[in-house]
Amino acid sequence: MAAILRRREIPIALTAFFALYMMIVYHFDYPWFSENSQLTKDIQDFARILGIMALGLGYIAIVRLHGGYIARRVKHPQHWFWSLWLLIVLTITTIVGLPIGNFGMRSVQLQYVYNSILMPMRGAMYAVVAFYIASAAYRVFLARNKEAAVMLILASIMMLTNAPVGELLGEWVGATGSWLLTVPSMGGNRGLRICGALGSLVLAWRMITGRETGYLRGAVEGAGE
Amino acid sequence: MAGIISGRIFSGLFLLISAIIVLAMIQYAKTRGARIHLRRLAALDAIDEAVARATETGRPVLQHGGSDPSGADTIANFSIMNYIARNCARRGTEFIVAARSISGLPVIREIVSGAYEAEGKLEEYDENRIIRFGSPEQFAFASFFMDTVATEKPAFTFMAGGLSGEALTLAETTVLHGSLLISGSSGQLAVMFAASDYFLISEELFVAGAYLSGDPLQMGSLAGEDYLKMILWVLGVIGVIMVIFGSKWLLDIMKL
Repeated sequence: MAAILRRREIPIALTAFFALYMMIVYHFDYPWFSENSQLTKDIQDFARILGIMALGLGYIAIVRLHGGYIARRVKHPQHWFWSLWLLIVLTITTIVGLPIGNFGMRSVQLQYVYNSILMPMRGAMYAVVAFYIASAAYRVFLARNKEAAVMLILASIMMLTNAPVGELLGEWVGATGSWLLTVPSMGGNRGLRICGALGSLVLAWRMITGRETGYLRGAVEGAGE
Repeated sequence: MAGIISGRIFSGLFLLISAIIVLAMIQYAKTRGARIHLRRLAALDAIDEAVARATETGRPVLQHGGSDPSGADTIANFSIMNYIARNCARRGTEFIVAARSISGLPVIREIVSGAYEAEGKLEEYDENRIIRFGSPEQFAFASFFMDTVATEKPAFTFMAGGLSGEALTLAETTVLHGSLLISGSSGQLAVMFAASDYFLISEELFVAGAYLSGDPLQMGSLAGEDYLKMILWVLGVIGVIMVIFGSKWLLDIMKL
């Protein structure tokens, strides 16, 4: 039974069926077969439930992974103490988020965890990394080759366009920046978007026909041979 | 009104044409057994060399696990992960995945353990060493990734799969620590292009799975994509000429 469930044909067949169904109902409108039909809504609900189940699987995977670090008292790649701390925090957050007694999604306890712990930590992390972004941008925008030199010049013009000092240099700065954004940048971006959309469309067809299987457990023919 | 939805006729037609062309090219490759020649993608060709370099130097290979497992970028990243993991398993090179998505974590486990199994090296698959989970939070993950690069000092880093504002810091850290960086993105184009040694621009990332597989049938689908591109190119040129001469006929057809 387990061997049958692990067969790659099952996820490929499910992918093909649901992808084709969603493609078709996007274009047709029949009472029993449309974007607003009960079947489509049921499938969308089913997808949401599957997403939550995937999150649950991920939760189990995190517990397994960090449980392994704790069990083996590892010090590398990270000290087991931090894994223990992670599991404690994970457990507390899960408990206060469950709809039991005074707890739940709208409970004061969960709001506290979110607003008074997670949000300030998120801001602090950004503040720490923000300065590194500036120094990283400086290193990236060095004129190491012709392409980087062109990007450096254009990025400088764009910075001057958005900075108040640019206005002091003359109207040409704003006009050039605006032209760069609306003509070459827009044109290039549209071309890339069209190619990207085509690429993802063909990727979808390969997945539907079962040709693209790299995202599934199993072999990729010719890997590094 | 029941039937085909107005405003979506052209997109439906294009979808149908795309399916016919892609399937026809796959069939062509199947029946003729023809090896369809594609232009070489330096970024993908460099993967083998980069893994070999990591093996020689005794340093690990690091891969970004992607942020949104349902996004096309991340799915393409998974295909490349499969390839790199197999390559590392075969050569006995240490492989590390820096995971960001909680729901993507089981998928990564399956892909990497499957790759080791396919190479007959399942006993070398040590999940606690290979898969490192950072955080789904953008900048917390960025800090985790930078720490992993600084402590593990990978010889080769591959980054793709829904890169956003933090991508520049990740890329720059890998370069600072002497890692060869190959990345792919359909969003963070300019900075990643500037920061990476090799870069997969937009659709090049989506074709990676097919390209790396070396499977003629998958190559057929890529040839189909090129034909679709030609159709769009011709439509674009005709549309521009028609608009210049004051006709919106093609535009009106596309809005059907």
